[in-house]
Amino acid sequence: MTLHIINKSPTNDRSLLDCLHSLGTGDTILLINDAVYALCCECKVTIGLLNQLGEEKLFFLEEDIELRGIKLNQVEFDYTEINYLEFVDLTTKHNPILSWC
Amino acid sequence: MNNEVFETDDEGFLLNLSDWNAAIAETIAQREDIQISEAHWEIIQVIKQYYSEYDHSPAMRPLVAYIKKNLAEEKASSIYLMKLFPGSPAKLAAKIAGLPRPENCL
Amino acid sequence: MHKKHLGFVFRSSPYAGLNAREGIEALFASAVFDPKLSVIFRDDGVFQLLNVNTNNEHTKNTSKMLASLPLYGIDELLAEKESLAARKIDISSIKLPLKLFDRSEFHRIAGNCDHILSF
Repeated sequence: MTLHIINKSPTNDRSLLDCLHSLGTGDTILLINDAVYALCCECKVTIGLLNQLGEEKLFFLEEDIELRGIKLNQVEFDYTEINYLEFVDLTTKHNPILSWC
Repeated sequence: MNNEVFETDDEGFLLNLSDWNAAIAETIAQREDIQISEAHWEIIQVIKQYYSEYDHSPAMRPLVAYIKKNLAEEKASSIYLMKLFPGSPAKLAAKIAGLPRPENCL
Repeated sequence: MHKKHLGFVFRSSPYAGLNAREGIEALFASAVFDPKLSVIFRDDGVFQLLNVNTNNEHTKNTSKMLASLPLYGIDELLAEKESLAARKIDISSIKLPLKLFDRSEFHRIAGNCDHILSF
């Protein structure tokens, strides 16, 4: 099953939304770099689609969240924060890996 | 007296901030023909405090404003700083304090 | 003599590329010449306003750099309401003396400047 890796801010780039609209069943998404700003996203469509994934299929890179000072008290969907080791682990468990650039 | 080895760039700015100590400050100051006094240390402390608070070396204007806020009004002037660190005070004080060159300094 | 009025528009998020850093450094450098200065945060640039407490050894902390703006004699710090709302940014947590403006006012604000630089 596919692991989608997204690195662009959803308020500045369409890749997160395009990816969400073309997901296969069982696909997993990992958000890194500026894509972690999805946690502050106010767009109802994006939030709705992220919400369907759940914490088993939606991952955020912890370090990138902290670096940006993102507040997590208003997030409206479930997700899992992972570190770099878990990132590597995730990539070994998925095939193919699709990096949205 | 001071045999410590430390690396600087072409202009004499310390390459590794963590190398800095009082002895190194004295050595850098001597290269600039400055004998560090209490008044110098005060400014060195303030500029280091500025750096840790704002993550960059200040130009003259913000340094003066910061001194006014955190040290003493009568020391918050370019004339005062010019006497201690002749020429380009913000640049010289940063150099002796082991901080990077202020990027916006003329 | 008429003081030049410079506008700096910050539109980039702080840590994805060098754009945000370059903008702040250009602003600091311009402040040396003591022009009238307006700094405008909009689009992903409003993410620069989020406070970051953790120190990262690989990147400068832009929120710390921005905290020094009041010492540089900046005349106005402005942030666009719509950009903040779209990113759920609560400005009560921001220490800078920000003024908010509506998107429809951008045109007028920009029109007051002699020169505008966007980053």
